[in-house]
Amino acid sequence: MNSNVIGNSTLRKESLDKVTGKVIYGNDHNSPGLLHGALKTSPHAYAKIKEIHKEDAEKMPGVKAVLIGTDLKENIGLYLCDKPPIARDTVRHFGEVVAVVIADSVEKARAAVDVIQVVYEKMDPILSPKEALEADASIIHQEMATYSHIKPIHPEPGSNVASRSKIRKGDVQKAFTEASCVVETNMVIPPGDHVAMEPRVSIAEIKSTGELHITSSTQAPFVVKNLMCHFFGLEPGKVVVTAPMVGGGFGGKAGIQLEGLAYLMSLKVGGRAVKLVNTREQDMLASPGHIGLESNVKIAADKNGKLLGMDLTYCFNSGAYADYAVNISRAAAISCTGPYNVPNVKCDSMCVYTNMPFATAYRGFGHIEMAFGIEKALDELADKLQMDPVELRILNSIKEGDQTPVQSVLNSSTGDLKTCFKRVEDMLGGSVGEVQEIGKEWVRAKGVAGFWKAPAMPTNTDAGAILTFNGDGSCNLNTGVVEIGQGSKTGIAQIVADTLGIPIEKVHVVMDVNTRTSPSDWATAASRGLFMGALAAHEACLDAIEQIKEVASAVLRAPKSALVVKDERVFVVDEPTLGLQLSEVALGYVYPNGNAYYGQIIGKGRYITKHLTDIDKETGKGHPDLEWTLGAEGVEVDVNVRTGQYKIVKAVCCIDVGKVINPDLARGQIVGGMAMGMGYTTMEGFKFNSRGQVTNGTLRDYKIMRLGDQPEYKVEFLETPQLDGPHGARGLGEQSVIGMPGAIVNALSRAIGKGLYEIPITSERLYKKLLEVSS
Amino acid sequence: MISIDFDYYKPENINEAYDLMRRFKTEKTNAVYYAGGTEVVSFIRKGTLKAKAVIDLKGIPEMSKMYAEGEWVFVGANVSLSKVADFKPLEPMKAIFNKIADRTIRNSLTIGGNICGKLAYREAVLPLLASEAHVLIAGAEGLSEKKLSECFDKMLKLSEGEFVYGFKIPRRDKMSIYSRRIESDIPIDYPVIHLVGIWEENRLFVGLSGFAGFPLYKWIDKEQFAQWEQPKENLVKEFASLAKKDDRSGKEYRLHLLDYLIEDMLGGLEHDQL
Repeated sequence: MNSNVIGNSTLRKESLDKVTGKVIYGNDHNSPGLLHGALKTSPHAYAKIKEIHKEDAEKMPGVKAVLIGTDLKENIGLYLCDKPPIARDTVRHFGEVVAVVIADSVEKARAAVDVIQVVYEKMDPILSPKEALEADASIIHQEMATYSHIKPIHPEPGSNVASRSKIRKGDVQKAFTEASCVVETNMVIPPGDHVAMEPRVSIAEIKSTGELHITSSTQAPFVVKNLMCHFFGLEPGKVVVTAPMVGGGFGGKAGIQLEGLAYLMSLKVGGRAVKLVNTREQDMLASPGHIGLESNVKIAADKNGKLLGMDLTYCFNSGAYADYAVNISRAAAISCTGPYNVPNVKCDSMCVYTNMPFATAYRGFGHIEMAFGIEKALDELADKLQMDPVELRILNSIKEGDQTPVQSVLNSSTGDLKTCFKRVEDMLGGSVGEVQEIGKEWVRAKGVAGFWKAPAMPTNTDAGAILTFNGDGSCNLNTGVVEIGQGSKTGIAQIVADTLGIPIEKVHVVMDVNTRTSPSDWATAASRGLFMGALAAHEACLDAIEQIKEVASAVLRAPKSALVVKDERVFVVDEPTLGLQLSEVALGYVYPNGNAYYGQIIGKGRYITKHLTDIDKETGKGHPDLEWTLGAEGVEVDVNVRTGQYKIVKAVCCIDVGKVINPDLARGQIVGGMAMGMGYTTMEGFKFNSRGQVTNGTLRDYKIMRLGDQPEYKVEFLETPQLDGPHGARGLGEQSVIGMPGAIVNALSRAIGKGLYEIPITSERLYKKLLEVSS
Repeated sequence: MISIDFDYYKPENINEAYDLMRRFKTEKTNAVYYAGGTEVVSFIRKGTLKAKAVIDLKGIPEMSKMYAEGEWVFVGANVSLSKVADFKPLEPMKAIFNKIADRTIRNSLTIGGNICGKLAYREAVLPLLASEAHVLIAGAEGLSEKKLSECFDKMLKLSEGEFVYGFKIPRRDKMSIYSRRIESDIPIDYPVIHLVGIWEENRLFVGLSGFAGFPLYKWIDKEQFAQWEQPKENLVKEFASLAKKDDRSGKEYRLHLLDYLIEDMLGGLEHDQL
């Protein structure tokens, strides 16, 4: 074992190439004869397509073909097959793709897009889940009954509900009648975008052998491969998907999107290689963004603040199509209470169609939205009971032995949430419930929130790892985890270096993922990449060590049980000088007389989730959750009570991760999540006019956090071991985004003395609330 | 990236530029002048500006010059806002220029572009109006010089084909300037409101950008000001009816901020008599 590697802030394997611009991203791939695509999108939120005139576009110089919706018969979809790759006879959201041009160059393709004429018949768009659920609302998906779907999804044809997940635990009615104190909040979050640095790109080519080759900026090459086979009737062995280095995903690239279109484009031009890359505006609107939510949270507690029950209604705003959203609403149901012990729970979590840009996975996967309402309600409960907000949360923190909303019992690998809250309180300087005046116009206040998340993934989620070796005893590590900027591949390499007992510099990581040569991997999402990839890699190392010992046992004439692999050697435990260099064994051993023995070492490892089940349709009972990572965070804000302007001065987080494999990378993830959560809460989100058109669909108008907007960050880690994790580690990629809206809204509400219930919290919104306070 | 075809011209002197534009106007070709390109590139790419020809003014060397001469500072229209803000003789006005966009954009955004472009904020015009700057306009008869305040009403009034050659700004070592800008979310954005107050010898200049659909300004005589019992309310009344509503703010919030900023300005303004 090389104990210097775990817990070490090793530089990322790909960093130098990244910062010097040498990395090849999807759009850097070019080949002779490559054709290019351009998209025409809808200016209307809801309309029938009456006519499309593409003849002029087809005649433009360099144009090879123009695809429209009626050219394609099938729908695609992740869990619910509801989306035509190109709008067929109806556009259901602003920015939906209505035609695709294939041409010699991007400029020629885009010029041809401009001359395509579309005649629309506008309809009244539905612009909120509330509206969509009204009895007389128009039905956005009339054919819902015909859509195929996976079993855990429950669509309701004849309505705008794409899926409903129910939790029924205990007796909520009784809890509310017995309660001393009840609070109720209604919160609204609009849909928005991930704004990853790299816009999406897909390249597709159908070879003469019939093989389909796709290169795509995807977090999930194997998902793409499987779905392409499923939708287009292709053989899995003949579909090869490559994921190069990806410039940020945040969940937005975890499904299938441009790949299907790129394939159809290639098919249209006889299999020639075609590249489709989004403009920034298309990346925001034509490709999916993040989900919205209207939530109603009711909490019942006894006079000491012990939570008795929660009655929750979550209406997720999926937009025009369901994509990942049906699973997001399900995941939010599974975690619906936040990280608190609630004996009685009723939750109806719905994925609702509207005529807004549609949603896919986003960091936090339903938890950031869910937590907003829960954390605000908890603060209101604390106010009503005149309790300190941290004290209330510590009193109810979930712990080992407690049941989750789906009645799954938490085991000893459960983090220490109480200490997380205490640390957050400490880092904020205590007195979380107080407001300080810090000048004539400014007040300072604090807010906290708890968070938890388990990956929401199939019960057979898996990973794999292959190790091959080089003549110097160094190894090559091949996993299916995609490098999207999170550094998992480096973390996994650290595990390998540690297990094999070789320096980290001698672990060479295969950066690109290729579905033909890399072992299968569900998807780089849900904060499980390091967790599962490392477990598989660890097994591959043990497999390789077995083989190394096999060779050494013969050569050194010692039993395998007496051999140790360490410091790039294999040697006899009680006679360390008697041994072999790994370089002598790695590619087959050669005796002094020339005889060769055993052959090259090839390590293989695999991982698949154990004991997971789906949840019951009526009660939600089940065990879908692999491991929970939880923690607490808080902010300190300064508010100008005259103008409503505010500044987040401090953001702190304490999270129980089991084991910190790479401190700098781990801290980077936590801080990055906090920053993302701050932008989400204070300035992001799509804005719509009354016709359902997005008015801030460019980066000049859609604001995200910049370097200069950062507060002071403080991050602490707790290490309650995850018994089945690599070195006791748990996933941590998403969690820190989850509590930010709650912490921020609690701090601001406290500062102005009035509740805020809508995101984003702009200074104008704050000012309007201040007016209410003074009147 | 701009994917439409257009013609690019780079004239070397004023007459060439003006004649080109006159020709395009006669032919009814949609042509625009540009220098920094921060607007033109964005709008052509977006499709809101359908220019068939662009005339790059950066080929005219004098328009990139900036120097102090006697009582004046000459600033060519093509000089970037970063350079203008860093120029010592214009230091008193720096606080206003440096609030526009961010440094990277100001490295390209020219003073001419900020004042004559499509975007209606034109923040750089406010201190120029206040100091009674002159504008040099290139037109049919070559260069003509006018008082900026006499040809600026919501925007610079130019005849067809004319363009701004540069500005002559009266040199000031010291100016009493109040400049406070409020944005809706983060500082690097258009202003919801930018209030500029400049106390001159006998009068107060009050200018607003972002508040209405165009820059607003007014001079108020010191004598008149001294007679006001409610100076804040009177000042607010001058501008209130023009408050606009847009994506970044409603009317009510703008009015509130106007009231607040004027109160701040009157309370904290550097001056020795009021």
